[in-house]
Amino acid sequence: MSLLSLNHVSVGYGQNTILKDLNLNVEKGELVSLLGPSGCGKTTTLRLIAGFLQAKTGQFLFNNKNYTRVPINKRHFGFVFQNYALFPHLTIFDNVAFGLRLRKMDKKTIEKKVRDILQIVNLNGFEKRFPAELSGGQRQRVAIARALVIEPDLLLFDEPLSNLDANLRIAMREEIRRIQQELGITAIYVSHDQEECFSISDKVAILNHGMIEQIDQPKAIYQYPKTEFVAQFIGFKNFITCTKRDIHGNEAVFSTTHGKFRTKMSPGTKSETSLKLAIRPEDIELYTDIHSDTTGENFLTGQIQLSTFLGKSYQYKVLTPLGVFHVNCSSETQPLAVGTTINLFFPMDKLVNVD
Amino acid sequence: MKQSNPVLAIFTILTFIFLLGPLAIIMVTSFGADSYLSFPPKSLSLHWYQHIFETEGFLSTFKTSIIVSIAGNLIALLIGLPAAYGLSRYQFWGKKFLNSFFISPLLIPGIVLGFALLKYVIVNYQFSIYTGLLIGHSIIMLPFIIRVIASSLANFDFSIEEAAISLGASRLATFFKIVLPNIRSGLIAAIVLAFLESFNNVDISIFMTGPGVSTLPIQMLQYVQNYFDPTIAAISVLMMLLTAALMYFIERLLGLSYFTKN
Amino acid sequence: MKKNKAYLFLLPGLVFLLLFMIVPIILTISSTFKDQGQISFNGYIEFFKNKYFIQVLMNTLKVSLMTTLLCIVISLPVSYYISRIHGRMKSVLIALSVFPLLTSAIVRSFSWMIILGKNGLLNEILMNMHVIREPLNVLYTPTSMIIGLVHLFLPLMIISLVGVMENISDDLVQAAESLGASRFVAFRKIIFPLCVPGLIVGSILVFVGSLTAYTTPALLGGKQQVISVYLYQNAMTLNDWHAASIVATIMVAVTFVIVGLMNLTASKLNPRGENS
Repeated sequence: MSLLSLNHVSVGYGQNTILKDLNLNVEKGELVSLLGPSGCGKTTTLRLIAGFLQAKTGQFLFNNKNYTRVPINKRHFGFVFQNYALFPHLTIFDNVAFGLRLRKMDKKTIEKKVRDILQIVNLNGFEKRFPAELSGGQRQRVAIARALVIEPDLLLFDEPLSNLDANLRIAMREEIRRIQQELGITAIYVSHDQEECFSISDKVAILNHGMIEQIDQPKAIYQYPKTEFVAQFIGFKNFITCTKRDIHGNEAVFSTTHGKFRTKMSPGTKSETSLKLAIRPEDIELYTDIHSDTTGENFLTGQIQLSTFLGKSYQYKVLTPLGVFHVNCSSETQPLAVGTTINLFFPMDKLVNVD
Repeated sequence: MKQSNPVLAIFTILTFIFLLGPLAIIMVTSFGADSYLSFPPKSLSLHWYQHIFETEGFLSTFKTSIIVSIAGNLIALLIGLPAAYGLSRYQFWGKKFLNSFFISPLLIPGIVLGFALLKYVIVNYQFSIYTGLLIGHSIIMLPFIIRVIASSLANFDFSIEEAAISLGASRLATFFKIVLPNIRSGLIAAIVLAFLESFNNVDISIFMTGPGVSTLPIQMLQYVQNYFDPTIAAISVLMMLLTAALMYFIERLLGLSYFTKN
Repeated sequence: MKKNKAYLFLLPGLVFLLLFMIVPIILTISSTFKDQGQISFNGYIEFFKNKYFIQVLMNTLKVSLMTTLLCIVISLPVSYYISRIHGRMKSVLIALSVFPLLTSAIVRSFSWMIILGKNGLLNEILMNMHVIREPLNVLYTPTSMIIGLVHLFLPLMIISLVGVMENISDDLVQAAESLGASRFVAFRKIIFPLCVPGLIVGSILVFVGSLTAYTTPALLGGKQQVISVYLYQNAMTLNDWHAASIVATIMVAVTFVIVGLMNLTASKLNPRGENS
């Protein structure tokens, strides 16, 4: 049994549905990220779990208990806000002690717990300061300490790093991961930053239009996106629409109006009707000499329409009979002129069949 | 989504009944036919509305009130508009102090200001009562004019003004063609709010009465202290209609959230 | 250059207020310290020996204090409710608070004369319900004054508090709730302390407003006098301008002392940092 399960949950205001029939399971000790474009429902899901809003239908089970109607203050979850939500009129000590005092602990215990947790987030010595006297990163650590100190059953993060600058973001995400693993806390993490989610999560759930498109380990999602949306979201820029699919063992051959493409079947075979192939721009190989070795299966001829310098690489926009493809090539080689006719090669282990 | 607390909701409703109920009662009473105030009235009539126009004093003091409010408004604008502009546009020594100085008429008890005006502006400076009335009303309108216009100017991007000047417009032309149109709604709101403040004023006007000079509120006050019939209820209804109309006008211009922000 | 220009814009207003407001008030105040060309405090000594005046002053302070307290107690929950709802209902409630604010004080006080009078609505209802036999004398008592003043100033308090509470992020309440606070505890420990400065500003407005209000006490107070009515009577009925000037000076002094004190507390209580 999972620690947390959302079963067929929907949320909406009036006519407007934000989550529809959402299912999510989280195991004890896991850090699960919810990732998706703005408006996909990731924050709504998190706020629903926190109890800030109520589901229209569906059930929320936690530890085998029905939490659907449990009020926020009885859930015992920690929540870390995007804008920290520190109490501006209280010192750092009082901010962190807030939850402990409500639990009627004695003064000594509170003092010890606050000191210990401030130690963990590297903020000892800041007890008497006020939130406004701290930097963004320090405030975020106070927010984390405040949520952690009550030893919550679940820790919820709502884009906690989006107000920090790039370098601090990386340092803080490592810190969050460290603390989460050190304390063995189950956590749900919302972000729109892919790298951030992939780097700290045990599992990533990708949401779109209020539904989970795919939930899996970061690497699995990166290599084998299940749907066209997920593929597009994580950087597969090129798609081939096929007409027919033949499976031979663990390989499949896709027919198109201009040639055939052979691929390895990704884990979890797609249905008969999945006739889309996806590939990243950096995975397509490009050949300028056209002869018999560079034609046939998994090859496609095209003409360069536009060349853009991206720093590490050149990106070419290549017009082919199957549409436009984006291809990245190392910038160390001589750039190719617009108008050049070239051959594109699609390595079979990089082509992914998606829904 | 979030459920609101029913106790809070009920308390809020009761508070609004307390605030608005009495005004509703005035409205109903004004249509009573009896010659004394009763609620609910036993029979309905428009008699007391007619009585307003038949009673000496109401019409003439209404005229005075309107003239004083409008003329005082013009004076306050003439003084307040440049002041608001100067306070928003420039940084200078003593800005904070001058900011509060221009708001200070709000802080000085109206009754004290009225008395001081009577004592010095009318008796010592020898101005006429009418002029004194006008000066007093301009003073109390000034903070409204300056505050509302300054908050409008706070949202105005003065680089637009510089752009116009760089294109060859004179400073004055820029002010009228660029600045004023951009703060139009704030300007109108300032005028309306100041007008209501002046039109309803008692504290100053009560010292500035003389032969043939008195404002409508003062006339009403004297009437209420002598007679207890629905005439005042009828005038009250007309005044509330005026207030509601002007409020609707401001709401269209600025939105009501304007009031909680200031 | 720019500096001079700014002062030029302010000059007409400065001259106007100096000439017609500051000078008359300062002259009024300074005249009270002169007796036949000599500096003297006799006027004040006599005043504070006068039992009647002390009673008027105390009466005024009592009525103003009660009004302020009632406004605070009523406006806190109402403003909290308004600040946390959204959409049409919120605009309607704000409009309904602004409307009385822009309505003449005479109209509003007059409405209470209809309700609280001897043959007024309140007595009629209570007698019909057989709660009382004889009509209550509410009108022309301090109670009716307080009711009228609360009615006059409550919208002001509500509107200024809604403004303050709207600036307190929902996240702070939710953070408190996620840490185990009930709605009420979250209000008491987070919202309330954060509104104290706004509450103090509102209280100054209400207290000073009640202290110096003329219309409402004049209509609802009857023989129960307050200082503003006392000033008016000295000036216009008794023609004792010296006494009126002394009352005016005391009013200005009391106002400034209270505003100063409250500002001082407000700046001390000011929560550190921004409300985000």
